[in-house]
Amino acid sequence: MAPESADSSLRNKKPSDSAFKQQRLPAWQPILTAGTVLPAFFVIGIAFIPVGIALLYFSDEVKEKIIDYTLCNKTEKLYDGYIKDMGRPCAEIIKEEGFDATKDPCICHMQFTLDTDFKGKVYMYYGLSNFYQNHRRYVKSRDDNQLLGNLNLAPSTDCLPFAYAADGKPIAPCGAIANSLFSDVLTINKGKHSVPLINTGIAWDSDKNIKFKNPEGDLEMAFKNFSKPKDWRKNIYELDLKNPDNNGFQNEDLIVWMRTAALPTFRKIYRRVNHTEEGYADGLQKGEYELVVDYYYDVSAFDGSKRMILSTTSLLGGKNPFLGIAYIVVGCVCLVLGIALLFIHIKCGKSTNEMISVNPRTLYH
Amino acid sequence: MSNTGEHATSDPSKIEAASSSSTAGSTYTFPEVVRSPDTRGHGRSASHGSGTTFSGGAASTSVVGRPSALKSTRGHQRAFSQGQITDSSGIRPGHSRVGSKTDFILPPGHKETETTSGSGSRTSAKGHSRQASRSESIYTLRRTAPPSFWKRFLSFILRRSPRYEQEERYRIVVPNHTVPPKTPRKEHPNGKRPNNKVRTTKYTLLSFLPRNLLEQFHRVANLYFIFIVLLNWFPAINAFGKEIAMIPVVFVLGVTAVKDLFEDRRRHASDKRINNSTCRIYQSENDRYKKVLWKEVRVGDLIHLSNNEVVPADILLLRSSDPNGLCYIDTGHLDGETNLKQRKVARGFTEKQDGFDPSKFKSVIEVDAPTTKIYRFHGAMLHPSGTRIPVGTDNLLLRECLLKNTDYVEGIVVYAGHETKAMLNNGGPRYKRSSLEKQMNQDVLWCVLILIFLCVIGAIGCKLWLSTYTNLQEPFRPDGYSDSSEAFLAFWTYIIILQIMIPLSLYVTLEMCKIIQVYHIHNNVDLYDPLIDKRTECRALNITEELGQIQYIFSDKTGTLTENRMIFRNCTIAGVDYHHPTLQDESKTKNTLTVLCNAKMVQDMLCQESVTDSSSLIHATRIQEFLLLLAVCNTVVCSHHPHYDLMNASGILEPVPNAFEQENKPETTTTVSPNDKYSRLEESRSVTPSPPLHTSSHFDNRRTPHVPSLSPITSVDSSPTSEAPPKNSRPKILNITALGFLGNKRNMNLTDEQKVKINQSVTPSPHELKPIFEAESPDELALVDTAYIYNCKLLKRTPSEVTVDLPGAGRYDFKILNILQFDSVRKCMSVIIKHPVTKQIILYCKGADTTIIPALAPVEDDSEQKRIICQTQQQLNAYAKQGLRVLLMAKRILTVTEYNEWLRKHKEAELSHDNLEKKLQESYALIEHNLTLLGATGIEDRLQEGVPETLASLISAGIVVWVVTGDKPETAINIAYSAKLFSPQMELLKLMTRSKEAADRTISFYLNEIERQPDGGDPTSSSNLLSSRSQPKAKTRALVIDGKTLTFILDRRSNLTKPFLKLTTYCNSVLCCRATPLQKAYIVKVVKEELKMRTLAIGDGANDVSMIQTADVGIGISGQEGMQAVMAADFSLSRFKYLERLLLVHGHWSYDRLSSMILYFFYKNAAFVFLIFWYQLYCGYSGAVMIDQMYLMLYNLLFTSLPPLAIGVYDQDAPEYLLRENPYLYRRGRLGKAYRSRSFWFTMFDAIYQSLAIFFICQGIYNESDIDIWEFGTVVTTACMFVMQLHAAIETRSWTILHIGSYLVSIGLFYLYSIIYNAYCVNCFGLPSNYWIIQHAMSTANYWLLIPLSCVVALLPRILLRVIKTAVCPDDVTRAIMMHRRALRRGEGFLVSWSRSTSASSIYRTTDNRTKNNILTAVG
Repeated sequence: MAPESADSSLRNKKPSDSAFKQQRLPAWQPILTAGTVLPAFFVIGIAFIPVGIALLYFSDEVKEKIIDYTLCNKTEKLYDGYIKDMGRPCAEIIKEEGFDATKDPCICHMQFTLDTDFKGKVYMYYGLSNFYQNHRRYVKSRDDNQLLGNLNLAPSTDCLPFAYAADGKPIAPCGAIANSLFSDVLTINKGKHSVPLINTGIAWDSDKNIKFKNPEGDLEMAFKNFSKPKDWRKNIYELDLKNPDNNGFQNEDLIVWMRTAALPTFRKIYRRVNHTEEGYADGLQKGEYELVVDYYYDVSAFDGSKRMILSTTSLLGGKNPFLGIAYIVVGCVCLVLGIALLFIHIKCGKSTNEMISVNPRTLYH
Repeated sequence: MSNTGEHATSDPSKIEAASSSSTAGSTYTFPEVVRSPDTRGHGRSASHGSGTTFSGGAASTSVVGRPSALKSTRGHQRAFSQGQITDSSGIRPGHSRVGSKTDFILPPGHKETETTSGSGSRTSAKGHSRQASRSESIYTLRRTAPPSFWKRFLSFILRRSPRYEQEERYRIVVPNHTVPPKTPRKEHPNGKRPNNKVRTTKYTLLSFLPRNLLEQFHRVANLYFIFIVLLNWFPAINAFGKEIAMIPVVFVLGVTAVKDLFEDRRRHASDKRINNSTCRIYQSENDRYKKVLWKEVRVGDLIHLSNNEVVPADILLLRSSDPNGLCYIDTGHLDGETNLKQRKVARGFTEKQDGFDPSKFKSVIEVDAPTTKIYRFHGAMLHPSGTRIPVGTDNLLLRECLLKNTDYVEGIVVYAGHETKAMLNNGGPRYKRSSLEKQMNQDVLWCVLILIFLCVIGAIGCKLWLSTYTNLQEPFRPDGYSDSSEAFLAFWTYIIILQIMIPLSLYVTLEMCKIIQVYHIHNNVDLYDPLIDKRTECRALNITEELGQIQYIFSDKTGTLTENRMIFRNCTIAGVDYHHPTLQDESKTKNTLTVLCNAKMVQDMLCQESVTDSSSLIHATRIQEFLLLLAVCNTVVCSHHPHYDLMNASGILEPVPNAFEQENKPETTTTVSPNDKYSRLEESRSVTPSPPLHTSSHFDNRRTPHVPSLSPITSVDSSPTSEAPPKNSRPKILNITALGFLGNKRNMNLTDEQKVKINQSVTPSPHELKPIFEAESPDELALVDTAYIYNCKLLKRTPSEVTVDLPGAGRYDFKILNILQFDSVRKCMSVIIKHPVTKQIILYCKGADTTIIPALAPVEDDSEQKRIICQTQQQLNAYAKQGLRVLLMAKRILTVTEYNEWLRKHKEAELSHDNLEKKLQESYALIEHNLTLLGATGIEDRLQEGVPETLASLISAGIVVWVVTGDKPETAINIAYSAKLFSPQMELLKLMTRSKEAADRTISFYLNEIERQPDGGDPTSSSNLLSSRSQPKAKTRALVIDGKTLTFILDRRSNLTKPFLKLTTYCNSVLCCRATPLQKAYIVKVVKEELKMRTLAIGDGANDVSMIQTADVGIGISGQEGMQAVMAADFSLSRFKYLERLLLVHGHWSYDRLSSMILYFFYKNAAFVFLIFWYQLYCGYSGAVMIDQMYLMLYNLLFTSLPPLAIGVYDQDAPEYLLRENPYLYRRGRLGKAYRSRSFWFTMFDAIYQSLAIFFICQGIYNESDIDIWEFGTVVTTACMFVMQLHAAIETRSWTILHIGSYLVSIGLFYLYSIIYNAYCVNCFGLPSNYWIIQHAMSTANYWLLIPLSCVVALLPRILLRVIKTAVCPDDVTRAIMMHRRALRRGEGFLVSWSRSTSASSIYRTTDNRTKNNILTAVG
């Protein structure tokens, strides 16, 4: 560190007496004694408990209806609206050889009741459990470049072995994530009418506008050299034929799916209720509903389960009492500790005083 | 010119014995200070007549110019270079430079001679064993500089090796002026030789990158990370983007490379400075010497050097100003020995000294190929006539030596630049590891184990997970892999993703911390010495924290504790005590050696003039005789002018001022003949860097013509009043002396009238100029100076005669019959002289009281002599109490027959071959008895300012202080008392034995004695030094041991080491006297290794170098003794007192800071890794990482790098004043309380807990939600960031703007980075896109609610523990702070401040028994 220069002998080597160099910056030296920390504990306790209560309240405000349809039996809707239970779960049927989803899809009809009105915006989710979307190989298996509309006949190697179809054509969209796109079709009926559901506005705007882009020009033409993913029934350009903005890579169901879940039990937004329709302006009213599932998606590999979730939202998102409870518990703990410290402070503070007021010299010899 | 005369002046005694190539291990030993002549040749540790070798011995009668004052090298028994550690690599981490494997201590008697070395070197059989032991060279452990990488590479490419090497066995050096100028280098006979340009830099511009990388890959840690990067390239394993994974490694390598580059630039600058020094070489075109830069010197050049110049290359001596062709060099920079060594002109040139003409020198020189052996050189000079004259080591001046005591020399360069012995022996930088770092490395190993454990768990989990699901498809179970092989691959994946468990960046941060710490230490204004304008230098950049953990201090005495300036303080003559007071303004004129005369003594002395009373007349005679003894009985050499050269720096000869020339002509040994074509040079001729102020003033004061402090009351002498400072006569030399003169307050004894007289005085005659005394030891100098002040002037000394100017009697030439050299057994020295007038043969003897008193002639009980002896002894005791060095003066008048009888026997003894030493001693003893006591002197070896206080502080800090000195026990004990190392209450155990058995007996006796005492301390508690409390009434002990006994104890075969060390643990202080440099080192080594203590050695002289290098921390005092110690040291201080601040404040801080920094670092990395690990429970043990890779890589580098730095550099557990007021606080570092193995585990558990808290809070909140993996990762990272900053905040003891800044900046950086990264990076680096994630997360309420929750939950236990600890059992520091605050609140500021006494008078304050000394020694 010594700045040595030839003419240093001329200059005085005395270091400058600045507070920084001499390590004499103004400093605050708190000692973490019971006395000093006490207030912090009380403040935390007093602040956390109300917050927790508020959170719990908001969480309770959220209405949620979850229907697990994993093991739903195949049903057939007869002409008069009567639903016949075929006695066999779709989960088994779709795995049978010779099952052809296009000719004879496995459909479940499930009745459910909403006990209360679902006020406000209602969203429909599908939930999967034990589905490891966060598996290292799975997460990696995608080609973001392709999803940006830059079609390349050689997709990213990350996609392997979901990069090329059996005929050697590259797959679009490639990779395991896209390949395992959730393919059940969920609809809800109320009485004879279906509940109006919108399949757009469910993905993040940033994803829809920036991360996912269709190639230029006609979609079908653009994808003509590409094959559909192995497990798909439709081509990428057939995902939403009604709405070209929601087709191809920019299909929101695909976008949502491509956002891989963090935990093996997750839900993904599927539809939102169209509140502009008559009768749904205030949300969903209580009453009888029917869930119709076009059952294609197999989750048996992980012993997983599938759920349909109807939920309203609050300020804090979905229903989750965890945060509120945690806040209350932590707040209480802090208060208790604060009281304990106060006790220590009063009780032991004196003895500490005595102890430390002893001259260290007398103490040590 | 081509004299071929075989003039065998070769003096075998001067030939170096076995070769030793030890050298100071520092990169550069280029002298920055020209040593003043009065330090030259002082046996440092030598008190008067102590350990210094008066080598000349019998030889003194036989030879040459200045025989005895200079140590010849005879009898040096050097062990040679096998004893060294050669270590070719300077970079290997963890390589201790200290030579543990070298058995580098040899008992003093041990002779290992290299007899095979052929013609030149011969071991002098005459070596006195003591002398041998002293000069057994300092085996600084050398590392040979490896040949330059580039050079090796080149030679590899060019394939030029064997032939070149073959030819290299001998090389021919042709004088360059015989070669026509402008000869192209290729045809030049010396063209192949390298020039004198040196390069010690490791890298060149081209080689920097490859070579630096290569060196860095030697580090295990770096290799580990390279391995991980490579691992990441396996497709089946890879967890990260391949390029991203390289960021940390590249960063670390880059930082280290920049640091190396910086260091290399410093070396480059120093090279440049050295290469651009100047010297004078002969140029045939102009037929004169010309000033050139060192780097332009080439082999074959003729060089002219002046006194005190540094030798620029290895030079074969052809000419010396000395008529006998001798010159003296100080090889201190080379091998650490400060004694002067004689070199002489090549045979055949001796008689040609005056007529030597460079242009006529045509001989060719044949020399060996360069070797590292410093004292081995063979060659021959081939004269044009065909004769061949061998030349050897004693004709060679080595690079980096200092020319001493010689006006000028000329010689021919035989090796230059990197081929010089100095450069070949130049070692690389040292690398020390502090114990904290060692401990840290151990914990890093634990981290490795934890990592492997986690990876194994992960791999097992992976297999179990896979086996639970039978029908998994791609990608979850890739085709072609079984579960087990998948698990195996997962293991490696885990290694990659959990890699930051091993904190690579910790090493970088640590080094940065230490560098900044060093910067602050270097810049501490309180460690700056304004007197010599020097700061504390930290030469080792990486052991600052070791300063805070020192347990043992080994201190040199002379020059370290004391100033090594002998001041004549008291004398007693015939029982009358004369005190010489301190000059009042001594503090200002620190470097004047002058003492004031005692007026009474002057009166007493001169009373013979006004004769009244016979007793006072007798007394006056006694005083005179006493003074005569002081002047005569020594080995001081005087020359009448400083060594000067007639050639100035540019090679121009200056005219001789006439007055000066005449002055010198009749007197000086170095005759300047008028027709000599050289003329006088200016003071500025020297190429050596100008000495620092203090040295130079010191230096010049010595040359001051005698300034009398005494003006005789009655002028009996013709000269005194005319002895004014002849400022006018030698202005150039005296330019600084005016200072000393003015500072010398003489008016005490002078009347105004006399002052006027002085001012009027004319240019003095030559005899009144005070000669320049060159003495072995400062004591002798003090004595001679004192005699001079009393007008008993030593004017000239030759081997056979000594000229003294006696007050009132004029000049006398005393014939010296014999000089009985000092040796440590006799502890005295004598001269036998013949009085020119009375023709009496008188023996003057001076020596230690223990020697002289028994040798006194028996006296009757009531005689006056008896009274004198009694009084003298009383006074001696008083002197000793004051810590003065005491010498007794005695005489004996011999009859001619007595003398002749003795002389005959003595000669017999000298001739005997076996038992020579013993016989000589017997012979000495024969004549040194029946003495008559003349008087005694008390010389003060002044303690340095602040030494007792510093020692008291260090001792109360619980550090064990050993004083290790080469000095004799009596002196050392005196100093120990005055330095408060010993207190009068202490029981002094002395271990001074002459045999192994006796040593054994004494040790066991003491041990038994101590163990019998109930309060004797308990050795099982690994010495009472470590136990935190000691019984207040326990008797404190101090141990004194001498070198001879040490020899037995340190001998491995004796098995005495352990009992000795056990004994020392009972003692509060240990004093080792008469220790050789090697013994010093060995003591340190033994304590370090056997007692497992962290040691610090502090010293100032070359004899401390080995000790300094052996100790864990070496500190050099940059005093008057040259730079060797400083060069070898890790830190250099300018005063001993700074040690207190360095250890108690900076060391304490450094240790404490780095401890918390390291623990924090472990914590933050572990917590982060565990976060990832917990995630594996939720991702099928697949090795998925939820945190974006950029965060992962930048986490250590960017987001969390500042808080550790802030803690590591600027945190203060206690303010400076508190640490100094309460030295016991040092205990924290000494006992290693801040960082122990359990603190590591505690930290680990805390890290696990905190990561659990963070992760599971996040998991709880986001379970079953639609959050995606990257947002989850971002949230977790944010929470983790906040927790870590708050954790750092809890760890921060002292909040400054820097700390707050570092936390805010860290958080800010994180947000700044992530926001920018998430906003602009749609598809970057081939990473999974994190577009808009942080923005999205920040728009949710959960994100903001989660952060405070996780912070509180994660940090609650830690803060709680802290609080409880402070409440229940606060540590020392906290206690001290609280106490201090309480005191402040009560307004009792006085309680905490204890006044620090000023040191000036400390030596006299023996009664001031602040019990501090004893009290806290044993504070654990």
